[in-house]
Amino acid sequence: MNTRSNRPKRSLLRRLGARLRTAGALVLHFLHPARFVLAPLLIVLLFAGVLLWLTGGLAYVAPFVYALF
Amino acid sequence: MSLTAALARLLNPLVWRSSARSALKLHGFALAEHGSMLDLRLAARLTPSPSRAAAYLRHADDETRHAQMFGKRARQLAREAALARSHAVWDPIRADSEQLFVGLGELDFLAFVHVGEARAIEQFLVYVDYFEARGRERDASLLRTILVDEHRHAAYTRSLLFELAASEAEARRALRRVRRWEAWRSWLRAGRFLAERVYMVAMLLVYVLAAPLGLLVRWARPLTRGWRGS
Amino acid sequence: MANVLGISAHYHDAAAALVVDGEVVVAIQQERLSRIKNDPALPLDAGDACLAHAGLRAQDLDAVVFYERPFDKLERVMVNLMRNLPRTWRQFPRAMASQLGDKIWVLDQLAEAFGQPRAKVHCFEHHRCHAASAHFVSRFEDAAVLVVDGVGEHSSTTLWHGQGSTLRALCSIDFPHSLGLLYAALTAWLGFAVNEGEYKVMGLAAWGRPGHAGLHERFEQLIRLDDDGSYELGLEYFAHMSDAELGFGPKLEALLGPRRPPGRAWKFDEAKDQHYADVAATLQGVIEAALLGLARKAKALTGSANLCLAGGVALNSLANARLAREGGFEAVFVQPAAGDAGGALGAAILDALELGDPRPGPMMSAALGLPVDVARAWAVARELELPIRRVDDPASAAAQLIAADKIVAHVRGRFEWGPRALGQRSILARAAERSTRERINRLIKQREPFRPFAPAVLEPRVAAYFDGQANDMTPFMTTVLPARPDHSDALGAVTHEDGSSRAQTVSVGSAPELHALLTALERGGHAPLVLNTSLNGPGEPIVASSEDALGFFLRHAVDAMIIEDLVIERPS
Repeated sequence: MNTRSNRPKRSLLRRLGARLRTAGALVLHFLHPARFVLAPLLIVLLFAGVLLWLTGGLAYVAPFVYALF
Repeated sequence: MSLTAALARLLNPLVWRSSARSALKLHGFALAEHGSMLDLRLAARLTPSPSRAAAYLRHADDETRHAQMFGKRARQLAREAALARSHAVWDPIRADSEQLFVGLGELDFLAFVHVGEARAIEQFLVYVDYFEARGRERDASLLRTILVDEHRHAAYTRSLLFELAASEAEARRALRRVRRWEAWRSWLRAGRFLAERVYMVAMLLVYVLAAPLGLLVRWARPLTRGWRGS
Repeated sequence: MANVLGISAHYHDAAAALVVDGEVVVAIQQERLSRIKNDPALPLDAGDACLAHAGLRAQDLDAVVFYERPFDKLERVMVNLMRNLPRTWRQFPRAMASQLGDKIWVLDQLAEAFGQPRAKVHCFEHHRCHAASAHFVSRFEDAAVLVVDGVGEHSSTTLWHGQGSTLRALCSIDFPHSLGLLYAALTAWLGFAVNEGEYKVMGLAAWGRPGHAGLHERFEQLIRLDDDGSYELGLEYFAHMSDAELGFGPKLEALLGPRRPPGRAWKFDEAKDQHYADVAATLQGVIEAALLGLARKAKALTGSANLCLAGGVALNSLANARLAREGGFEAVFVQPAAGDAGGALGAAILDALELGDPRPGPMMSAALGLPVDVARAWAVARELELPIRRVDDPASAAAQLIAADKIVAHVRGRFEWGPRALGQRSILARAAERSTRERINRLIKQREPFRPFAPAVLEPRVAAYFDGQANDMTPFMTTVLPARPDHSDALGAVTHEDGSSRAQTVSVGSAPELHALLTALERGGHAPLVLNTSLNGPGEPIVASSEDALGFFLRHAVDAMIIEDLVIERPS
């Protein structure tokens, strides 16, 4: 029943492409005229996203993180 | 003495220094037993062998009982320590499943469970000594009761592992593989722990810097009440 | 003609539902497979199981549909975090990590997991999915549809008009005003777990005195009900805008008293616990009044004779009974999986309709899950050295055991969709003696003493035991009926403190195995009525597979277990 381990993996490039398209759609969502005034929230999103990405990667360098910060 | 036992002996005074710390540790054990129960139930469903399914179900039943025993004692200690009611120790015992059977396959799953049980035996023996030396008979007795089951679990998983592996060498390779995988997992967990804290601090900084946006949002999106679109 | 997989996930109660050529073929909550109660994880196992049950492969799917619009949700979360600065400082990092790390990518994750081009993965608004899950599987051609839950993207309450295969949005009440979050806050204040303890609050209500000692006046500060059917929360008493754990603030404790410590034994002869019961009773009255106001608004806007309900608040069977009595509608239907799980079904139906498929037929049964593997059950039970045997007539075997006052775990047919056990994965026992209820509680359920057990009765016999008739809700236990006092001897274990029973009416169509059992009971000269409670231990999801069932038998002291035509009897 459980097939999680058998799922075909997409190539990194295709996954990255899909993620970029979603990120683009998110930017367009906040730039829509109905919520244009919320566009500055995109800056917060950008910062939060970059931080999350960076600290996600930190898990791999793990206990040496003190050397980086 | 193994590294596990030495570490446990070294950390004993820290881990069990108060009722509150003891409650937290035992609550952690309860969660670990509950998580193990979930993995064993999944293994029982997925293994092609009815006899191994039966063994996993019996083991899962023991883990459920252990989780309840640890949880009950943790709450007794939490009461003694007057731990706040919002503390996790009062919550129902709920753990996540790592779906180890799916991720590792049955051979490595058995090796993983065996290694975990053997390590638990080593640690619990050290804890029992510690509790007995300090007259904490109730805690010593709890662990002694559970140790009986842990010995049985370690024995049956070892025997199933060697039965299932193509050869004895293959079984030993699985044990080594699992130990390496566990070490890597511990490394990642430590990394994640640190990374999360770095992230939290950095995000709080972003939060402070974003404070003026709070005013913008309050102006642009005032709270609504009543019907919209009526 | 299309194969559409609907998915709900990420908050609580994840699920997958498959609609094939316009018909609901299978629907599964992730918790039944993962064994984690209210599992919110992306339900890939449930999705796979749906496909396997229907004999489809992922490439046969025409669409995968998510029950929520992720960007709208993110927008609401961000607006709320910023609006409530600085009280949201604790939530901000976690909320952003959860949204940006996971939730906004859900459509990509689904595309990858089910091997679909991204263009085939869609989403619909949360409340629209709820509304669809109720209207499109009801028997009504025309209905007002009321959705009430904690919160979707922006709305917490919405009204719709369902006509044939269309669903038109009428109006909404937005977060942070929310009946679901009011209920959740009081659930936490009463010392129960949010998203799990709401049933307990409803059970507790029967033991309380609504409005006692000025509680009505105090509740008027918590929620104001307007004449137009809308409502407004006294937000200063709540914390759901800034606290994900508790939902209420210190002002609520100042108003109602300190929260009840979780896990403490209940003693109604103590004034403190009686006060908590009084609060639960007052809350129940307020929720019912609010829902009646919403129903009146829905009636005024649609003029429809029928009402459909969905959203977590629609699982309040007491309130549903009152809506049926006083709401001004001829008929009321509630989606059996009214909580977030139901959104998966609604999403799948909405997309199937857009792809040109017909509207599904009325939902007659909630047995939409997976069957048990009988051969596997036999083999594993033998390995466990359980005394298992095969019988020709399992319904009669079960009836004999129940008539002999045994507690029977009943595992037959496909498991249920929604939180109620309706005979497919149930613990069944004689409904007559109150002692049976205490025995089940002591040996298995370990429930609080105030929580009722429900009866299941043969549909044509319902009026003999209850004041009322079978209706659109009774097959799914989403309403209550008053027990007839002249039959109290037959209903001792299943009548609540207030004289009500959450009765399930059983027909061949809704639960054929349970119907056969009740018929066999009647044939044997017994009342065609059993106590029916879910087949699970405390804090566990309801049993799904044969291994789950055997695991339950090992752990819990039921007298016997029926797995299709297999019987296991515990030696006395």
